[in-house]
Amino acid sequence: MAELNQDKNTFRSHKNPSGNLGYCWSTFLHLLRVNWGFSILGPTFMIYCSLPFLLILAAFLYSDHIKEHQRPEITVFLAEKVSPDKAALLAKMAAAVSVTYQITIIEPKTAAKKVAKTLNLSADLQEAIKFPRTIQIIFPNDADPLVLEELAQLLAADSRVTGVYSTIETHKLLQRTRCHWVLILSIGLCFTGVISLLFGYFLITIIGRPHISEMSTMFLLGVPSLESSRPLQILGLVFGAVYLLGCLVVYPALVRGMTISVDWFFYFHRLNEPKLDLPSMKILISLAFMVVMYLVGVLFAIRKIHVSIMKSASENE
Amino acid sequence: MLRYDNVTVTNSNGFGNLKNVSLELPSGSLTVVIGSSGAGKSSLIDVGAGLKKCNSGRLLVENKDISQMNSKSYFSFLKATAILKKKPRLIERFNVYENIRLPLLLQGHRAKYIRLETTKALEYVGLRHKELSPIKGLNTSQKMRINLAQCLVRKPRLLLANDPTFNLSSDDFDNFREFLYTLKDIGTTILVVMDSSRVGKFKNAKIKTLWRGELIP
Repeated sequence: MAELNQDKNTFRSHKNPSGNLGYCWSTFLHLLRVNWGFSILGPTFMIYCSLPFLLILAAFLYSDHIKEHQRPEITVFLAEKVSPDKAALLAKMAAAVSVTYQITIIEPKTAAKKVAKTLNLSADLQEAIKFPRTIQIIFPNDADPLVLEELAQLLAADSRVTGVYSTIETHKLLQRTRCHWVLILSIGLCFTGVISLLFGYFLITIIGRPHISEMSTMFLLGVPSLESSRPLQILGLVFGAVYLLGCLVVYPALVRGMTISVDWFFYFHRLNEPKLDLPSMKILISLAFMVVMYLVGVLFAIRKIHVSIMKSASENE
Repeated sequence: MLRYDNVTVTNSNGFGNLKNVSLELPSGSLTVVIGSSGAGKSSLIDVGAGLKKCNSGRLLVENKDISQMNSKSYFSFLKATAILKKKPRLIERFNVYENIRLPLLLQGHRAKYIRLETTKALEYVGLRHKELSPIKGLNTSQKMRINLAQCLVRKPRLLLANDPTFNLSSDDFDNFREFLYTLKDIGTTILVVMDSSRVGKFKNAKIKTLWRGELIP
């Protein structure tokens, strides 16, 4: 021990704790190993809890997409005797009543061809089908529904017309449901945010609690709580990143499933292959909100752990 | 080095209060404070380490009020201070060697120096043969010796010991006393609080008595 006594050069050599880094990463890996169940189930459960919200969000954006691409339209079925000239005259009358986006006169043969193609009918059946001459009037998205309804009534009353089909009601419904969607979306976002916050808090508290005694020992060795709890902070960030990535992976799959289901449900056949675009800004903002809420929960947990470290450090037994 | 200046601490449970305690610990001195259970011994150590705040009075570390210190200064002070508790504080997932070398690692010393100092300390506390043993299988005496070895490698400027011999045998107490003299020789300022039964065995120490929170010279 005489050697130790003489070693006075290092008596005041309390260097900068760069050694904390080694401790931090080894502890992080230790925490991952010890809590492997939480490490897998935690983010998975959070993604699972976010699924309802993601589904609502996808439905909202899809309804927005439908509204944008499906303009209100009136399809007018003409009587058999009505000539192309008279059909054109009727179309002109319709255009005079309201602003139109596009007017198409569909000849009976073209209509039969389209239907046969859509329903995969044979050439014989295509020949057998007799469609009337049709006028398809497409209106701009912002067209006044009242004017369109009046126009539909006017056309229906015309002696040359056998039937009128319009999507005005659907368009009005889409406009009416938008405010409901926004409400449901806001509630869903708040609910998922609160769940993320609570989950972040409890996950880090549960993982950190058995580690408090060790962190208080580190505190007594002169390591600030903020540094000794760094492995937990990193763990929280890693779980948050996994959560975000998981949601980003799950979302396109949800959209794909939903668009296919909606197409089949409404049209009884697949119209188009749904496009898998990159997540839009709305989705990214919503996901960022959920991850931020989760991180707030982690922060609360870390703060509580810091208080527990101080308490544990001053315990004598 | 350390000065308690009219320190008063009132605990919420009314147990272990301190009343206007004034105590000066000059550099390199050994001070032993004795007192019965609930006299305020633990509070004295906790206030000295900055783990507990005073209701009134102040604690001066090299003439600087500890309550006025910023976080960086406080943790520099803690790094230079060894705190021994009744129950040894060790990291269970580390083995004996890793526990002893930890303070040196945190201080950023070189591997060669860490190896040398840790081995010396292991030999000093008689645990060289146990260096790779896990902490879980060790008894209280061995755990306390690991804590002492940690103190030795740290070469602290201040040692605050809260009755660490509480659960130890007479032989261990003698070793502890020798350990204190070793640290005193390298210039460590030492404050030990304990009950009165073994205080007679200390030589060259300033001995004070704590009675119901008041320090009696």
